[in-house]
Amino acid sequence: MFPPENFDLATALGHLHPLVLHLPIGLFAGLAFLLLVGGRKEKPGLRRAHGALVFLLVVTTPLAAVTGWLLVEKGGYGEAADWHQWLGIGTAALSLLLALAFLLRAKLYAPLVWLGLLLLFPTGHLGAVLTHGERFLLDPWFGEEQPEGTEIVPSTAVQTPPVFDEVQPVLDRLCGRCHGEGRQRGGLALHTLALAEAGGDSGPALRLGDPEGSTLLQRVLLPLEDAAHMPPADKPQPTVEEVELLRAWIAAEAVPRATEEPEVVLAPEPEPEEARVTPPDAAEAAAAAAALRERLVHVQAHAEGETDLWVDFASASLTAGELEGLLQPLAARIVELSLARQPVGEEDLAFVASLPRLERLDLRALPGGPHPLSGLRGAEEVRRLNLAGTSIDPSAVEIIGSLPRLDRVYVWETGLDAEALRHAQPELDVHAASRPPDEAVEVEGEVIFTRVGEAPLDPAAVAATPQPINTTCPVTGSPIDSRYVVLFEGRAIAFCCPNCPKAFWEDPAPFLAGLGLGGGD
Amino acid sequence: MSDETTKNDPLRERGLLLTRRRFFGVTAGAAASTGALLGRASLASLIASPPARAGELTSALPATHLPAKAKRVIYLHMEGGPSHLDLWDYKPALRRRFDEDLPDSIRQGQRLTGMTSGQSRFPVAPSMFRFGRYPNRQDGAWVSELMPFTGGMARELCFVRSMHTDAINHEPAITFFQTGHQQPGRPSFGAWCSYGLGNANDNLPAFVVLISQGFGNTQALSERFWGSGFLDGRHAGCKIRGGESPVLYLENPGGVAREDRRRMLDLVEELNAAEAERSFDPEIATRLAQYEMAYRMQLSVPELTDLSDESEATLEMYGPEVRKAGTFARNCLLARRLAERGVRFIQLFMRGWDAHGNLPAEIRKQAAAVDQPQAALLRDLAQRGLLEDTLVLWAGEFGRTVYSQGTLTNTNYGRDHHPRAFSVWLAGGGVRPGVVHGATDDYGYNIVADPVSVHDLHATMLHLLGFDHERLVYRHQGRDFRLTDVAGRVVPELLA
Repeated sequence: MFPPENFDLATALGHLHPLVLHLPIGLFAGLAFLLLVGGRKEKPGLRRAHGALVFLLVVTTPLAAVTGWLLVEKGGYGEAADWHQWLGIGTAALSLLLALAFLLRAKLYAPLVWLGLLLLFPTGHLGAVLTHGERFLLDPWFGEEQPEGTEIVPSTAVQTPPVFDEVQPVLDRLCGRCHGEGRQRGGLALHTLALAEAGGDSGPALRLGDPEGSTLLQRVLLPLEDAAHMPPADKPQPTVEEVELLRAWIAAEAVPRATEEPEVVLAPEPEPEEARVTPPDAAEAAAAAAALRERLVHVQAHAEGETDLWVDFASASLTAGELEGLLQPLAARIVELSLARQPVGEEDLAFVASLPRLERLDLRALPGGPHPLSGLRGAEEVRRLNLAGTSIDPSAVEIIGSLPRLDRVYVWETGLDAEALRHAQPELDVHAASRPPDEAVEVEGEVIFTRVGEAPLDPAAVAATPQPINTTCPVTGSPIDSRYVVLFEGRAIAFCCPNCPKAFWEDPAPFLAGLGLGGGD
Repeated sequence: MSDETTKNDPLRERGLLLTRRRFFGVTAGAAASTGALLGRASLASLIASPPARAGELTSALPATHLPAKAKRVIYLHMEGGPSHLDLWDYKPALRRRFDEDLPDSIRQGQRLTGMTSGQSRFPVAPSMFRFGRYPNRQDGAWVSELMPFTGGMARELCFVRSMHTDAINHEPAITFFQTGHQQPGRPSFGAWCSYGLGNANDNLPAFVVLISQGFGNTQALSERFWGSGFLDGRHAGCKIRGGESPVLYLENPGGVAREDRRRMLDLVEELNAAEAERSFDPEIATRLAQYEMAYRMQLSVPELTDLSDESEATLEMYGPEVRKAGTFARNCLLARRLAERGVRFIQLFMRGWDAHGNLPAEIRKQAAAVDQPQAALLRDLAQRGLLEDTLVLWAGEFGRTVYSQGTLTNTNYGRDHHPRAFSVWLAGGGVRPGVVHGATDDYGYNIVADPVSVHDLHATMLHLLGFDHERLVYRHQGRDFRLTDVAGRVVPELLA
């Protein structure tokens, strides 16, 4: 499709930079040529020629600078790009100055042309280093630099495990142009061990101790025609010995080496832990988790820094049979899974049973049924199983009994016979319908108030609550509400709202007259 | 472009400095690094950020500090301050001290509210209700005849008879329970949970509030009690009402079809995204998220409040009031339905416990309205396998005095606010079941064993939810704020 959906104008313009940048170079060269051949005399034709070139210069240098800036913004370039960028912007600024000088016929014009030409050398060189690598100019003259102190030997001869310092020159020669200090295509840099371990956009490049599991070696070993093969097919390829060296190094890097001169270590240097414990499938798992999140599936780590996952489909809508495709990359990490209220088929349950570490499984209120749960056989680690509200086929009792680690199951409203299950599995904690609240085991007798040293009052005398003596609220005059009654000097007085008794208690005197109870005094 | 490069983008930095909120507030970056889970937990950032860089799988996912025992909270807030002396804290010795003056050795010169400080005497009012001993996992729990259903659930309950709070009036006391601070302006407990845990169900808000009107003296119930304070607005509690329209302004206006709404939202999103790019106001992201949430709630809320799939047996368990919208019974049933759907923090408010006068009559109605439904809620959660990871709390904002406010008779008395000692109970979600923690003196006035402050309760509940309460923080106005302020201690005796 043209343009593609993710079309980005900035990227498209940025990619024009290598084309556009050559125009100012030619124009500067042209101006220099005109200055050289034109002589000192002012000729109208010559000025017109200068004018045309200056005009083109003013148009193209900013264009080159802007496209270059867009390209750098997209990332993947190292610090070398910084200098190249500033020099390029400087050149653009200079060409504008130059045009001004030309229009004003200033004396500064010719020196500016020479200065511009001079600036092009470092700018161009840095640009070339970015695309072609550090030694592009020098190699044809001085030959390719051999990695110093590295004896490349076939695998059988690899006696002492190689260290990164030995491998680094090989990586530098084969990969350094795109994955080195100057440039980090795909976010990957290989010039230090830490950066190589950290990897790039497609995950860590190395899995120390596991050459076959390391993306770096995998990509090298791919057939040349494969698009993912590294280094790219048109670039220098490693020799068999070099591949063996890489393999031996990755395999050895995990093994702690005895240092030749044992040092007194006071405090061990902290290892870059995170990078080392990252499983190789982390990137794939992260992508799968993100895909689940987009489908509103809740994915939560069991706790900070742990890779155990709780996956909950509370807000997602699942189609039967698609569970495996969604969860496969996370299969080894899921310890808790909730599929409550989702249409779950037997094939989904078979996948669930294959999750190697699943401990808690929530199958509450599944639609349809009765579910035979036959797919669940072999779920070895499941400890909690919630079936509440899901119609379950009686045959499932046998499956439930076969789960070796199961210690609690909820069978309320499943159609299963909880008693039978308890009988068959005495050690299993079977939860069915909650029992009604307990009765009190002991209740105190009649409540009788006494004062210290006084005989109890007769309960019968205090039992009857007197009727209110008033029909309108003494505070507001509104009709009374029977909810708001207080006892005052043995009489019940009713009010219209809960606030009036407060007003009354503050100072009962003014209200007593209205109640026919006489004045305050 | 990775998050790192956008963070360091000078244009964006400049743009952010231009927004006032940003200027006075907090940088998203600082929040992400100091706030435990912000940015990790928020759905929008998860979707927006590229997940590819390996080794960051778990840091890109929401996670609690510790493995959580409870996934969600149901908080039954008894607004007004229920009388612990008439419900949970059995004081039989008081029956022989009827109408005596409260000894100074008990009151210890405590400051009283303006409602009783002028009283000439403070007559002791023993509870007129009979207590019964219900089986729990110790030697039984004494509970008043007003709460027979709840008493019967004592095997599951963890009574705390030694709660105390700092505030003596409703507003500051509720604010304190809700936010960990007496002055308004801080995020509520539910908002902290939403911030820390994120949604488990993206079709419903993480924090839902349900209100029931009581029968006694009611106090103001401000929206700010469930506000988000300085946290992102999406963490505020969403009130679900009892009437025709459970969430106000959620339905499409007449003549607007769901597809039209979708098209409108898409267009608004485009415009808002353009504005966000220009002004960098983080509230725009909140607004966008809220529009989307509301759109999804247009389907999820009617499904939530449609009780036609509830069995007759279930409805009966909650009592007859469950058939009436807005009652505490109905809200308990809705709380269970919300818990089933993964909502993180469900708070019920039952109003009307402020019995200054006429306490016996008022508390009878109040207790009758909550007793059977709350016991049914516990049973219903248990049989659905939800009680083990749902933390239930029953609490008012303070207790009530042992002395009578107003005239004391054999059949009537009132009680004033009492912050020094009162009772709450917890259940489920990693709470130690069937125990009684703490004790008060014979007057139920002072704590004599194992005091638990509001901060301690918050710290303990956060612990059960998987948080180190000292690390669930949010930087605001140059300071890391937390629910427990600068105090709080996890109470190990309350943990299973």
